[in-house]
Amino acid sequence: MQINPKVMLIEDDPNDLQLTMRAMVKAGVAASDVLVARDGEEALHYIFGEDGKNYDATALGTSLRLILLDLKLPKISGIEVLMKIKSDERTRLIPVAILTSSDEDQDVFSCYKYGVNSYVRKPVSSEKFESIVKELGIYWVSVNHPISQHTPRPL
Amino acid sequence: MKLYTKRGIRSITILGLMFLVVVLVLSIRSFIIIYNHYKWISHTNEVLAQIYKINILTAKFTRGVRGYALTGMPMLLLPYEEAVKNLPTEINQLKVLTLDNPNQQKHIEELDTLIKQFEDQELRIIAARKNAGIEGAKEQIVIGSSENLLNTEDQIFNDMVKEEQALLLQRETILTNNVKFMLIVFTSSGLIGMAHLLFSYRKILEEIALAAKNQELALNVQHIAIANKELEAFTYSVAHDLRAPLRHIDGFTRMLEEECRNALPDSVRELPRQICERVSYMGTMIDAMLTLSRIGQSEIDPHLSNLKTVLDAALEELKKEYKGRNIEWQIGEMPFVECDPRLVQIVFNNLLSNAIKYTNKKDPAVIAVDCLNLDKEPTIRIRDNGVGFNMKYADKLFGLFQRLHRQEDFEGTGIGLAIVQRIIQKHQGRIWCESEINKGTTFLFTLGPPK
Repeated sequence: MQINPKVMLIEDDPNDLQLTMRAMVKAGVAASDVLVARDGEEALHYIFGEDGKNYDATALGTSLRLILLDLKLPKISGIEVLMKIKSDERTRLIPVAILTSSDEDQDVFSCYKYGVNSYVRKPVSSEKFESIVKELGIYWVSVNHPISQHTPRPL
Repeated sequence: MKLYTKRGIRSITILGLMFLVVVLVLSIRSFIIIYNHYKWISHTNEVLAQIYKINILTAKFTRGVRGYALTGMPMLLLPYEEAVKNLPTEINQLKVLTLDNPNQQKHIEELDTLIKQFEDQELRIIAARKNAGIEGAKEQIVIGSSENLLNTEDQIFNDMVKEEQALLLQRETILTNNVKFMLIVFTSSGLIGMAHLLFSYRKILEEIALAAKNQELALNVQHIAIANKELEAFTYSVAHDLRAPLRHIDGFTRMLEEECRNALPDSVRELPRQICERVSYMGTMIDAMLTLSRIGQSEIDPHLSNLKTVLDAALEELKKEYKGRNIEWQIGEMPFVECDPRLVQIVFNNLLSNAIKYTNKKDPAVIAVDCLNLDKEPTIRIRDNGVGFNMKYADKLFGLFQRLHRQEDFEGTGIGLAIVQRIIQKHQGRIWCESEINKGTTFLFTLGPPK
């Protein structure tokens, strides 16, 4: 079990999982910094469950810099997970980006009313990941790109 | 058989009805004639019977008197007395029976006079016998003109009988003729009626068969429509399911390309990139299929629309496609048409995009949009002076993923026209084209069935 994971990835498809992990690693995230959940139930269990196997939601709320959430999940849907995260005091400030395939685009827009922060189109590439990082201003997620290496936006 | 047309049937039926009316009228007339003549014949027979009756009476008359003249027995006078008593009544009866016949009336008058004379004569004979005995009677008989009278009487009777018989013959002839006529009329009406029935029977059977065929056709059309819808739904779901694995192949191939680019020998270095490119193209094709089946399944919402507005919207969307190009636009009058403007805009988009694309080697490119044949069948025409195509392959043009030009020369997936055709189909219109290589291409389409 990782201590203080920086990124949580909630994805059911093993291929998408592999590709996303690789993109993040290429962009400079340590694999050990990523907490993976394979479905909605597992994700909520990790975040909110209190039977010793899980994390402390308050602690997670502090350490997680990003949650990547796949919309189509078995058992509990991505939207439900999103709602739970964004409605709990301890976790609602964590930036959440939806992972979408091009036929789910419609659903992404309806997520905005639940407080989602951004979205990424699958397949996730390291470039796409980096642009999310930039957009959400979470530069300290990746080891390879300390703040000083980023070019500030022209005013 | 050309009788089976609407006009043919109407003519035959009217003819038949007219014939039947004529037949009806003639039949009634004939029946009346037959009835009357039948009665007249009865009457004539009655008259004849009456004449014979009178004849017998006058014979009795004579016989009685002669008997008495010979024997002097008053008993023998009885027939004479009876005849004398009855003759006036019977003669009167005859008169009444032949009131309508002036000839017969004349004869009867003659008869009357004659019989009176006769009676006088016989009275004298009777008186002579009474007074002068048998000799006296003989004398009276000899000098009397009984025989003449009798002969004349016979003559009159014959004349009267002849007259009545002539009338009888006449009336019998007319009766027979009318009966013959009625026979012909009934037979021919019967035959014509049967012919008409058979004719109608055949026609009705034909109509029933035709209706059954039509129903079958309609059912087939319905089946085909359902099959098409199912096919479109199937296409959609298949394309949809193919997306995810394609995405993974794309991702892994990029991964491969990134990791191995430098480690690969020259002979295979480009392969990962080529695979990526093909995968990407496949994704485009799948998206195209999804678009086509979505459009195919969508409900068309037709209402009166201003095609000018639709065309302008399409041109606005295409502005970035022809940015920097020298294109001469010739836009004509656009009518109001019953259609789904959302879908027609897609048609304009695709056709104009093609025009723009295939004129990219011409400067200036000329693209003209106008409307022909407004009153009967409004037809939109889009012409360009681009690279054109060989009309020999025109029927492939609208096929899915079919292209008549090389990918290197003109990019594209070959789905635009398939979408356009589907939309035109939904409007029950037609689309066709003409082209000449290097001269240009013209597309024409209608948005509804011909009026």
